[in-house]
Amino acid sequence: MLIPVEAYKEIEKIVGSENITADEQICDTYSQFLFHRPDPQVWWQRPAAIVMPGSTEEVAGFVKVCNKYKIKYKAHSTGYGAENGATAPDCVLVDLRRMNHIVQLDEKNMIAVVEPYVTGGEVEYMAWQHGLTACLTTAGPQSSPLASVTSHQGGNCAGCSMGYNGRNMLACEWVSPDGEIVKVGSAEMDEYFTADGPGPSFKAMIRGYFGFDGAMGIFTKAALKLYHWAGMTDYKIPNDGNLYEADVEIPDNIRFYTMIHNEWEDLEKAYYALAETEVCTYMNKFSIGITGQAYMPEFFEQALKLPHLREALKMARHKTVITIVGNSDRDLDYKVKCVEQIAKESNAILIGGKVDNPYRKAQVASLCKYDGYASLFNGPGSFHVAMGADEAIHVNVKQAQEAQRIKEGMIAAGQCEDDLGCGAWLGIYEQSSRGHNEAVMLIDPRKEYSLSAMMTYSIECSKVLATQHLGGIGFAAFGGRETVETFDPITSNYYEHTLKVKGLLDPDNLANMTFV
Amino acid sequence: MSNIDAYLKALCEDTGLEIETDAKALKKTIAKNYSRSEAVVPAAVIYPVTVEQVEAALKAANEYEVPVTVRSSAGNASLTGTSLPWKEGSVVINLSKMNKIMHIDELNCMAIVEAGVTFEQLNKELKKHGLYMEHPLQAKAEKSVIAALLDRDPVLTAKHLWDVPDPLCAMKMVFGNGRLFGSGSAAGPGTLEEMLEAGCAMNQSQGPVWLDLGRVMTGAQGTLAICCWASVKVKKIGTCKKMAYVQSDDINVLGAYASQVIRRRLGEEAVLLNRKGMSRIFGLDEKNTDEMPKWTYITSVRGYNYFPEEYMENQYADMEDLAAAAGLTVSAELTGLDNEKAFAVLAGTSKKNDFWKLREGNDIVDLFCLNTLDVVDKFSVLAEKVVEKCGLDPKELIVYVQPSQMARNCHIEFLIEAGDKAAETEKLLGTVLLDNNAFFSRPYGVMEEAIYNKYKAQRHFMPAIKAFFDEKGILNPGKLASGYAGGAL
Ligand SMILES: Cc1cc2nc3c(=O)[nH]c(=O)nc-3n(C[C@H](O)[C@H](O)[C@H](O)COP(=O)(O)OP(=O)(O)OC[C@H]3O[C@@H](n4cnc5c(N)ncnc54)[C@H](O)[C@@H]3O)c2cc1C
Repeated sequence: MLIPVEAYKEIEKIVGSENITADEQICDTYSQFLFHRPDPQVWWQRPAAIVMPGSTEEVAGFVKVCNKYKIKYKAHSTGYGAENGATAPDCVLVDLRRMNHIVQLDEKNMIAVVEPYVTGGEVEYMAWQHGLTACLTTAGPQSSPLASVTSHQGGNCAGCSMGYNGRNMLACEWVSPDGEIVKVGSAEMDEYFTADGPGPSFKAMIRGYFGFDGAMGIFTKAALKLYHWAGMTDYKIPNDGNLYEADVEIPDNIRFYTMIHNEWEDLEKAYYALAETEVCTYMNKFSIGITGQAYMPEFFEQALKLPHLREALKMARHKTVITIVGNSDRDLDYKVKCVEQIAKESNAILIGGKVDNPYRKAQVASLCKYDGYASLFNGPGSFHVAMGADEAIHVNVKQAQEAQRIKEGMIAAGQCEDDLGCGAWLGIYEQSSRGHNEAVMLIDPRKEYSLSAMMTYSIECSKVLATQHLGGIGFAAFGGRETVETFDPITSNYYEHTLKVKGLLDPDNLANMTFV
Repeated sequence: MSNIDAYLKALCEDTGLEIETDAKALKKTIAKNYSRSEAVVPAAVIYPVTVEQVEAALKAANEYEVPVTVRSSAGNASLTGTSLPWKEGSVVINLSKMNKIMHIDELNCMAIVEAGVTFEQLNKELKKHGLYMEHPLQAKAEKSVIAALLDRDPVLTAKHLWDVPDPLCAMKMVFGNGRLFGSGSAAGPGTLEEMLEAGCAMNQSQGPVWLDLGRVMTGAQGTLAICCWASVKVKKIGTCKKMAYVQSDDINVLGAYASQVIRRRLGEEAVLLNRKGMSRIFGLDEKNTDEMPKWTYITSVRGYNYFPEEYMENQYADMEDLAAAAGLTVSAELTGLDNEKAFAVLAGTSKKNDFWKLREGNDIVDLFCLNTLDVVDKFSVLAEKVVEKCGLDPKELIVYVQPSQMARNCHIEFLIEAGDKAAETEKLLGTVLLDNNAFFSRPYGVMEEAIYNKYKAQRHFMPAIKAFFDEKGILNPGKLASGYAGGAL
């Protein structure tokens, strides 16, 4: 065993013998798949032990033992992303699945307080019944909104109307790296309406733009901002979620569109107008390559080999999926008119609306189940994301164009999977000029070239970001050590400052840092 | 040579900074202290005009261990006392001459301003571009935009306040320890000029990566870092506008209504005021306010580029439907109040030297907390009882409620002219509210210690925050002192 026996025993006393194990076979099940890095040891270590605390007090007790014996640990809520994996062989994984309560749903003030293992689907379902909705990431309904708002990024398809999840947490309860139970912001009086103060914002020390990915203690409760929702309050998908066969009720006040642009300039124009009119509840650009590879890989692989079909598919590369929800009949009419007008002005092909077709039902089902990129993880598939931070829509579009140019070169040279070049997952945030771009690349981890393509792509995109000044670091952070070396000296020494924050709160780096 | 002399000499030689040391002039800088916090005459006031000068001033302050207080607004008035030095031998870094509007971006609706830019100055310039800034209620004309927003002074449009520190975004700052840092977009890579050239809007407040230090320094009362310039979100003025008023004696009903309206993104600026607040802010005759219901929700609707009239009328009609469902009525007019004037009050700043909070001189009680709309009723009743107990007329109490963060929380402010009863009233009101779970997210003056005694978690981590930014404790010593003293959880 890689942790001291005495430590194991002390932890066992806290959580109970049935909630701790160092069984290698069980520990192996927590070893993760590849994600954003070709070098498996970053995330693919077998943890020394698995602990399953059932309460905040148990989490705190456990962290205190870790401090006593200098044991590394890493929080794991729903555990979907690789970032929760053990980062060293002597790292204990803290599986929080026993902490799975929706503590409070405050309809009046649009707040839900949740524990780590509450899933997005559960919150959403409960929120809908109160005319509210939660902001869930495209990771899917099975993932933890607490992990998202407290610790890991927060891009999503609802960003236009519900923002980025790094800005969607109010107060929280947190076990600090030295094992203290800390109520941040108004949580200290058991109310969760604000994270900041009294005085400076301590919250912003422990949750920045990307989130510390488990390297900053363990969050045990978080208040999620909920948003107004005039859509369905209930749903049934009789065949349990198969999107193609979904048979769901479509509320009258919801419209689904796909807006297809041929030119980036047109798409950009449309995005500014969509932001100004505030009409979208969900909107995001998906690329035909990623969708094709995810949902119909065999067909897509064959299609790409046929030159004419390949070109035809490229025409639909920039497709934006839009959902609008009318709060009243007049609101719906106005939103429909705006979408139609914007499509016209930006030379888009607009598909959808109220047409009653199976595709529409699939979209409703998709909303209910939040199925998106999750499908990419069928079989051995994986993906990687490169490029910068959120900035002006115009700059995020530029990032997307540059990433496309880089990838097209790599496809032509046979260096990466062919997804037609553009992998931009692009959207507007907070009904404003703020954009969000993720330059996605599909990865087949079975193939050596595909894995090295991931790093080449990251590094090339980073160079463009740095030399063309296309916004902050953002997804370039997935480039690991190389990113730090490139960007730290030219970006306000962000890494040095991060280590200082970390050093002040977790001097022994026990809540182990992942990316570098 | 004393520390301060050596400091000033070094600064003078290295940077050519403008420095004020004339005793009479220095005395004047603390002449308008409207708070009940003590202030001492500074040893010098320096007026940087570049980021490099601020950096040099703070680096030297660390070297010579000279305490520094920063002030951004024009003039010498201070309502809270935080921009006035408290420690003998302090230097004031006055940023009022760093007052360039550096950039206005119509496409992205952003402005970049230096710390000394005032609300009046910015709005005047924005107007030329068809834009305006959503500012705090009747913001003081000569108040620094950055100083107000850094203090988390709530702005009027809850639906655009997605999170703290909106509408403030990226910031170029110098930490107390003299290190230069860019928060959010301001971190680069690239200079501001290079980034603007590439089309950046500087509209990212968080980052780089794990950090969000701009937000950390909000509410810090100048104790952590000096913000030299920042980007702020601004809005289009629109092509048409209309006012809407909803009134009720029951703040619970009206507050719930406001929440329903705001969450649907109906209306733009929106505030809730009691009668005295209506008369003070909108200049309504007492005769009119006496006859109207106790509480008024005032909001404006605007139309923009796409179907403006239809959008505006839809918004209004949706508000009417919601009102009907709540047993309320929306009116387009309010007796005794001209709509143009009402609109100007909501969208405009106060007139110079005519700030609504200061009309009564230096004997006001001004307490505010951050809570939820559903406790406004309870807090107002308590506040009325307290002022009555202190021998004041509850009718004179202004209650101003500013919904924030899409109405998930709200700023609740109590203001009354209290004469010689001001100190006693403030103390009692503050204590009663604190005991009833008022969350004083911006602790000032007499309440500070009691607040930090209650919020132990925040206090526990404040030494670490201070150590990160300003390990030598150069910036604004004495302010938030009970917080920075730390303590067990
Ligand atoms: C296919 C796919 C699609 C994705 N799409 C998105 C997307 O669109 N947007 C997005 O933001 N993310 C996305 N992710 C990443 C991630 O899955 C999501 O952010 C998700 O919301 C978090 O849930 P999780 O199950 O991954 O959390 P976990 O894996 O449990 O945790 C994520 C990180 O947070 C830390 N953490 C978790 N719980 C705690 C806690 N209680 N205290 C302290 N630290 C904690 C973990 O250590 C880990 O580093 C995606 C991942 C995949 C695999």
